[in-house]
Amino acid sequence: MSLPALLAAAAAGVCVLPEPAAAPDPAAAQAYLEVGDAETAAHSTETALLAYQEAARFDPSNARAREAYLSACTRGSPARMLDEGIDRMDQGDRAGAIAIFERLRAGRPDPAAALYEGIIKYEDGDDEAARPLLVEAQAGSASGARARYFLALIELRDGGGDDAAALFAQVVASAQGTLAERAELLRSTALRSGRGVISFLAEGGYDSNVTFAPDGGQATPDGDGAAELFLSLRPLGLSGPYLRGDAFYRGQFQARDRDLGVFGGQLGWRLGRGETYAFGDYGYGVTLLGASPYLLAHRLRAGGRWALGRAALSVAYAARFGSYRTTDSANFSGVLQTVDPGIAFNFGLASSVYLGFHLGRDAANLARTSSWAVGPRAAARFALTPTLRTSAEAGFTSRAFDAAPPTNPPDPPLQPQADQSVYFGGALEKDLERFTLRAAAAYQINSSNTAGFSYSRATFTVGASYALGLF
Amino acid sequence: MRTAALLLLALSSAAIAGADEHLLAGARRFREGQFAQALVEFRVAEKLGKGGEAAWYSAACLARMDRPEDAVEAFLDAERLAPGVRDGLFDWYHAVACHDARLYLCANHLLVGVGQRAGPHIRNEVGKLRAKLDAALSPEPPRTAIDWYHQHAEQAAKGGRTLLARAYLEEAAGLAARRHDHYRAEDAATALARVQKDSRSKDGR
Repeated sequence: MSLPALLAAAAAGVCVLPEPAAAPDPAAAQAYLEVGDAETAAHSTETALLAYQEAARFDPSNARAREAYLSACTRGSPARMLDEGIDRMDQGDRAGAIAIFERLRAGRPDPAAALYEGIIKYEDGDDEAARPLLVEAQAGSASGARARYFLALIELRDGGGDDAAALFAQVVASAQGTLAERAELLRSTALRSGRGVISFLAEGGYDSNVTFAPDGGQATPDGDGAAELFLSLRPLGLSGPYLRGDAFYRGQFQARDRDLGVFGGQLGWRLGRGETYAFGDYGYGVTLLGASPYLLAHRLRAGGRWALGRAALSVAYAARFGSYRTTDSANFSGVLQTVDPGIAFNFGLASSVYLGFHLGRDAANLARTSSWAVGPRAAARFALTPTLRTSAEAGFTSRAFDAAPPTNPPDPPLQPQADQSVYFGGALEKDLERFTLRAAAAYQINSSNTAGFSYSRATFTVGASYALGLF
Repeated sequence: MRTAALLLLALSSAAIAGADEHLLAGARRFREGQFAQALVEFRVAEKLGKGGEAAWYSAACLARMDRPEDAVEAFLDAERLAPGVRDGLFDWYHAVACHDARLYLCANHLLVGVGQRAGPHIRNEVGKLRAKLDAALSPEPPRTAIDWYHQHAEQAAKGGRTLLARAYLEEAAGLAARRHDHYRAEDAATALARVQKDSRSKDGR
């Protein structure tokens, strides 16, 4: 621990350095210091404190004497000092808190102080420093469960999904109340996490209007079955490079021309293991419609998240360079750029609310296929129990195209197309070890100033997924 | 007695420099019953040149601070450094420390000389302690007790506390001699020889 940190703690009245002696005596101070060291070695903290106090008094310039006195002073009233350290931690004075915790641990184990110091290091994202402290804290009967909880969080952040799950399981077995609930919840998350994860999804659904038939027309309801295979690799843990691959295919029972296939891969880098991070990636995707190529797209993405206590600000920018492959859609080829800023508020047990805004510019081949899109977004997620959660989301998008489609005289000119779309949906998810059961419903209403583009549709899906950490 | 003389001298306001100053400060604290503070001052006096004399007072402080093992060790060290400073009051404190460290033969041996030279209050205390020792030493010592001393001697030796180890082994040897089978007497003699050799080699360094 640095001397300035110690002195800062002392200056705040935690353990105050003694008034200097009228006549400094470095030789006596050195003798007192040696006596203090001997008494410390004999586990006689009270006598050591007296000796160190005299050493600091007779030679205030002796850094070793000052430090020894402050350390002994801290160790002399550990409960009070621990409370003081926690108060400083709560007030955001991390350096002051660490100074106190380190003094409590100087020369002897103090699991409680090690726990809180480890938590500070963890929150600072310094996992290498936090890990040995939390290992030390495991020895304490009162601090053991919390230490294992934070060790599990480090493993989770570091990509050790199985190790994290095992530690969370120990916490569940040994703790009670909120800590046990959080551990149970995060154990489910850990089972689906890791540096290498593969997951498989199977679901069945119903779409009330799979062809987007306009209002008043003949809607085409249809059922479907879908499967998805997803692979994620993070060789260096949460912070560092990542590679993702995704293959999704949904087959309609009747409207086979609406069968949807989405295949893609992403290569990117995330900087930051904590709640604050930045990322950037490149992706390539192929979309099939009716088993035929529909869209080929390159996509660049960059963004970040900045945690501020329970709140977090985020922004993501994406540029998609798309090439539509069907005659009807070819003129929509171009560059689609989107920006999504937002703010999230986290509550206990992994519950959160998100409010955001979407801005999009689709610069397509033609003015009549190019558009601006804007609108708010909202989402909420609530953990009902550690393994049961519900989520809801809603969004409004106003889209305005740059120009109207051409008309043949004497037909009157048309207005550029303008649509408003409202979407809302909800889901219920239940974790069963590595399986997740999911039921979801959504409803979308699209109104347009252009005939044939106003429609509504409802969808329902029920599915199950399985995730496995590879390493 | 020398101890009493020092305590009286502590009342004097005469300015005394260096080690003597700490020696007297220690004596003053001792008289006031502030044994931890007194110990610190005596230890400083030892380091500043009053080693032999201050060592006895430090040991007395440790005895009063309920640190009997440290006190026994300190008394043995003081005896080695300054045997001439030893007096009846120091022997009394030493005996108390030996008793509290379960070194009953050690305590008994020291009390022999104390009773005749001490004042009435100490003589009374000596009588009480001697009664306790008689009760502890009258039956034949059990084997488990002798094992206990060997075990503690081993721990002390491992911790580098050869003087304390010696005290435990001397106790084990003395108790063995009080048994009809002289249980582990040879062990005690061998270990004592080893500890004394270690102690001499340390002193030589």
